[in-house]
Amino acid sequence: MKQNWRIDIDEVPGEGTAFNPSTVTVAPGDLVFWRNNTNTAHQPVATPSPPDWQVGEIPGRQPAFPDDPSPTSGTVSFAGTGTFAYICALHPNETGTIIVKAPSS
Amino acid sequence: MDMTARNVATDTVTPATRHLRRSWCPVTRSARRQFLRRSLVITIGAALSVPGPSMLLAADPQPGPTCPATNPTFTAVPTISSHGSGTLQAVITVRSGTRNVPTAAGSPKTPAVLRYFSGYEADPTYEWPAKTSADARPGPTLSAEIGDVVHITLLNHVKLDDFPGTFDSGEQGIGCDQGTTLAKNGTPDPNRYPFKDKYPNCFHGSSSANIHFHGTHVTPSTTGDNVLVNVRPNPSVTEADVKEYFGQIFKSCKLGEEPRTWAQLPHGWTDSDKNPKSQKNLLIHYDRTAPYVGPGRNPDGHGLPPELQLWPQNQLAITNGIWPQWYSGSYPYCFQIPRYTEDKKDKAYVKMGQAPGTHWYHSHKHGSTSINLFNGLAGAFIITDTSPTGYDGMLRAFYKNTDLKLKQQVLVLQQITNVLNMLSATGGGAPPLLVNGELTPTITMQPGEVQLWRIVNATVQNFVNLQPPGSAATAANSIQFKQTAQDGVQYDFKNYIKPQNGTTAINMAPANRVDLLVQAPTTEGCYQLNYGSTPPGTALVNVTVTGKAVSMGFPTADDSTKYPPMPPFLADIEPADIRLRRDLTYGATKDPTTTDKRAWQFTIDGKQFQDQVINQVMLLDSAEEWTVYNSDTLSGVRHPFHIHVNPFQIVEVFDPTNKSVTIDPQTGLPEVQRPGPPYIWWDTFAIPAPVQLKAGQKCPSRVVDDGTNKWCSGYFKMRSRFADFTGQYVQHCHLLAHEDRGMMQLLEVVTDKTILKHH
Repeated sequence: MKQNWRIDIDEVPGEGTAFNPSTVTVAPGDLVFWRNNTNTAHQPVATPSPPDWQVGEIPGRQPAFPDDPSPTSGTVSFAGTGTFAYICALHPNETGTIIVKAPSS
Repeated sequence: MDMTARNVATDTVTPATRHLRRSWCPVTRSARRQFLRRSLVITIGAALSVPGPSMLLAADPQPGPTCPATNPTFTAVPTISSHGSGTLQAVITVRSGTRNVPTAAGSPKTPAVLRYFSGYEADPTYEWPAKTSADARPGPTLSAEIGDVVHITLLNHVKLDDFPGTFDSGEQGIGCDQGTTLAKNGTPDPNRYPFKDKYPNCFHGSSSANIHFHGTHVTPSTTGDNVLVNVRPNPSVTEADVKEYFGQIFKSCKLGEEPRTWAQLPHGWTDSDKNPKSQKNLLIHYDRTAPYVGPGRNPDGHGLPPELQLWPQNQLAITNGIWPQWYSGSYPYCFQIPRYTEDKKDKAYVKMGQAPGTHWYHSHKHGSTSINLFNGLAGAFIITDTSPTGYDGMLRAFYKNTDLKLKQQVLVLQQITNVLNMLSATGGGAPPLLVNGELTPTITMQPGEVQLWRIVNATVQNFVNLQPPGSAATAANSIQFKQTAQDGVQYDFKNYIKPQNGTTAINMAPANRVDLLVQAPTTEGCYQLNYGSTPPGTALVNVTVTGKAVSMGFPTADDSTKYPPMPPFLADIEPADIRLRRDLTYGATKDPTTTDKRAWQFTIDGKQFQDQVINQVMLLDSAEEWTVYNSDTLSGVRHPFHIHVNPFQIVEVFDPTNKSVTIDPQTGLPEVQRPGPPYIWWDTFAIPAPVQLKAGQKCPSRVVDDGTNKWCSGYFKMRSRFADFTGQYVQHCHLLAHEDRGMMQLLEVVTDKTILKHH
């Protein structure tokens, strides 16, 4: 069964904002998406230019409504294996890596 | 903060979704409202089950001493029943969370985040599935007697932030789910989903819910079998928040006064300004705060543009006397299951009663029926008639004095997965067929015991071909069965005693149900009920036969007075009663710009589901005869036709692919099959696929010319009575991805007093 892999975007006290986890290992065909738990917008995008992929901007949570669910992104799916780096298009210092590995390897 | 890698694989599962009401949809607010009112989906039709000699299969039994201990024990799903009280009461919640799913024999279950139904009658302590278990299961079985009133509180507690791209998360203003795919090692895939699909006929809005009570003959409007309502997830809405209000609604229903207008619902639940959890306040909150970054966005990315807001759409509907479509967190279902009476002066007189039998319920929102049923949002709905001459009463009486009373098993067949292939880069094989959440579970019976098995095909797209006993099978060494009902409607005795019954395969299309009297062999051992396209097939269930031998048997040709008689309303629809004949054609079209199969569009009468278009209008209480063609020369599949509210009788079938039917010398193709009266009732029937015409063949059906070849369409002819209930509902393909992607029509039943307004 394919899996969905959620990467949270969290505020880390004293360190700023980060993808959590910063590296995930998935199988070809799995879906990856991001959940934004911060109050500002973020937008994961592949680092090659032009980017191979990007998801749309994910709005931040609204502090006035803490019970509302965190906004999430669309999904990215990888057919081939490899290591794929990405950043936040709005905050390029935020970095992450997706490793796509065949289940048997 | 703990930044260690979490296995989020068990956290989330859903295709990215966008909902119906986005700016990507170039329709007016009115059009959108019209569509939203209609955006439900329908179920399919069953496969050809007209008895044919070629369907005889030879699956000789291979009994073993004991069934493998590695196979799971059959799980009997708990039942929420009306207990003879006249009221079926339940709280059904759509939840989300990690569930364990069998993926292969002998392998551990795989965790996946799914949406699922849970439910209880009155005390949450007894909720099913129990919170202590994480196994994927169907929803609780519902059971009511005909004549009962059904009161169901629906709560939608799906956690949106566990699912990617659902309609109020990360809105990009596109309207359809999106698969962002890297084809190979970084090469962008320009054909990622939605590819050529266009809203509303695309996968979208997957966490919204409603309930279709499949097989019921009840009103399709307001709080009945209304699949046009759209209940948004909102875990903050609890049963306590709505109990008082819904109690008032249910009380009115019990008195036979089902709500007909929004104004008849309790003000506190509908549009009270004082109640923060009134529908008005909840929807306005959503309109103001929903993440949205499409055209016309606010700087902070929250709040919907006016044309997409939900509460104004509801307001407009209410002003126009239309039942609003949008709800947040909760919805009250209440309706009466009609008991037929011949007394036309009776206040409750109906022309068609509810057929007692094996029905089911499932989520039915256009654009997400396939992922919701792949997640498992389905359960059985057993409607009984335990009166002395009723279906259940007669069957139970037949076994009253045998060694054992008739025991019932409910088998809900599902294929569970968390990702649609079209949203993934790699596609994938079909998930295994599960029975009540287990792969090939084991049922235990005593030698010679007869049980009533109610089987529901709740899969999204799997035709389940149940294999009969083989030619060398005997009552001593093989499981025997006799079919007593199709799609929740009992067999006439004349059909029951036909020699084909129990000796030919039973082809269940998605959404079909069958009732089988199943008899265990008289010899102890391990046996299988198999399914598959060719014998011996694959084991659906194992049956361990052990213990004291008992004397039971099937009703025979001598038992006509002991077999359930057909109620008068299930008598054949005679040709003289037919008011109108019409043709429908299921088909598929190519996109001339690509050879990619994902661009095929599935249509009815050449068109996909459309806003503001009622495709068929029928007169209340009239009978019609429909010929339904399959002219899909692209996929070549059988499309299961399903229509809500009223069952139909199959009177003619032409299956040009059926190699077991005698070739008609006049046409060079299989003969047209006319099963003859008494006809079998269905609510889902698979339209036979077309074949390419060869030289010398003369097609007795519709010919399709694809520019290169000529094809002969398969078809069936059915008769139905559009009785008792006006309103809008749908007919559609029950290969649910086809329905989500447009293979659906909106229908309306009207009285001859209706004034049709010109738009």
